[in-house]
Amino acid sequence: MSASRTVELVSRLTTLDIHDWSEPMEVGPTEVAEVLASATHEGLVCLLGAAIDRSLVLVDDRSAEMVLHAWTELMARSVQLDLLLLEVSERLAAAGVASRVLKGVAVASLDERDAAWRSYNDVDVLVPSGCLLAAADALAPLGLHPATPPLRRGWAGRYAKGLTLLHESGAQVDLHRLLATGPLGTRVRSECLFERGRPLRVGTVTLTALADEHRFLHACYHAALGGIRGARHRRDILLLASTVAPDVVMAQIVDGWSPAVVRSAVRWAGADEGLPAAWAQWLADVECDPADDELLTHRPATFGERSLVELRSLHGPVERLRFAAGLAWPSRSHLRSRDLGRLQYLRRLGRLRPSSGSAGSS
Amino acid sequence: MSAYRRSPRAVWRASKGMLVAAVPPNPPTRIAGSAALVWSQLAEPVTLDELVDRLARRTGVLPEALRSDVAALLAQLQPLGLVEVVR
Repeated sequence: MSASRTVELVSRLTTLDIHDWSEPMEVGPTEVAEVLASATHEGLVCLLGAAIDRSLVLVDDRSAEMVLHAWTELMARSVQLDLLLLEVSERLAAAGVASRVLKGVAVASLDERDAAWRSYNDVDVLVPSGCLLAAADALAPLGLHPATPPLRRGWAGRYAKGLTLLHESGAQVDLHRLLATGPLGTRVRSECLFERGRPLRVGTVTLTALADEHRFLHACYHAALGGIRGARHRRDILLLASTVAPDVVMAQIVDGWSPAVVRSAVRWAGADEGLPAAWAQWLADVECDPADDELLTHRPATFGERSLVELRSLHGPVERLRFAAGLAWPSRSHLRSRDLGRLQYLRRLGRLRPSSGSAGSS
Repeated sequence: MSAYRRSPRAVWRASKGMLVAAVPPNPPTRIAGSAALVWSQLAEPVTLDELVDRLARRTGVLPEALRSDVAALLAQLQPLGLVEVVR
């Protein structure tokens, strides 16, 4: 399979049922194997299965069988995660912790053409920023425990973006208190995400997802600030751009959302095709704060740099001191879990050259 | 006569060639083939005769050729809690 043909297939799958295909595409066993081997966060296997079902991609019987098998396993995983989500939501509600379902089943059920076109690898739940520790405690009886002990418990509840919890089954629950970190993320008034929401039905249970405009903004923040982005993230933006108008999104700026982040994400997602005309026009017209553009262009690359930027974005000397103290003196369990000595940790904190795993958005 | 419907508690995904469904706390069940077509007809209570007739119209297969397979599928889904009998 030529590289250009791979690019074409991925592009077509990313915009499946968003952008019309001129004619069916014939795909050989090698190409199918490449898609099956693609990273799960790309989300291409389900889309390939759907395209084969619709005769938009033509493959031999053996390839069709392999895709169907892989698709079925991804769906079984997603259903299993939905069952875990139901347990998580029930526990949080019983503990009096409000929650919003993020990504995964929310996008699959509310935004995707068919829920079976979207797979996911974990459960993502947002809780009010002051309730992270209460939420984590409420979930412990389910066998959900932090994958890595936080820097310090109190510090995590006050400053961390969230906690990753691991279930004994191996499933992961990402408990978020913010959608994104850094100056562009922390300035968003997170309370606005709980002031409205979109009902989401899972079995007989009604959960709450983010409101449409907030799901769109979250998709944009993830794509622009999240580090890893691929076909799935692009598709999420395109799907939501077809239902959320630019003026509705712009009305949210009062809550601290940045048009520069939206512009960056929408421009990336719509670079080839599939962008609604209203958003193409918005891209041509929008004017963004140069300071936000600067923050997007020169995002901190190292743990130390990121920490410094976050410290500077805090208000008041007491908050800054609290943040710095927790950061400079993490718990022993945290250091042990990262196999770091205290000195090594401090060296890393002070390091200025880029390291892997720069995180920004959930 | 008994009517069948899929459990409202079921969490599921389906495509032309597969059905994956679970009723908590059971793990997901995977069924290959045309189970999804049967599943799609079980949103509302339906008798076996009605179900077979509908599927025959959809697929062009004779009802008598479908009946035993459909009955076997319902019998497979019932103990898993995925299909309920409504009288």
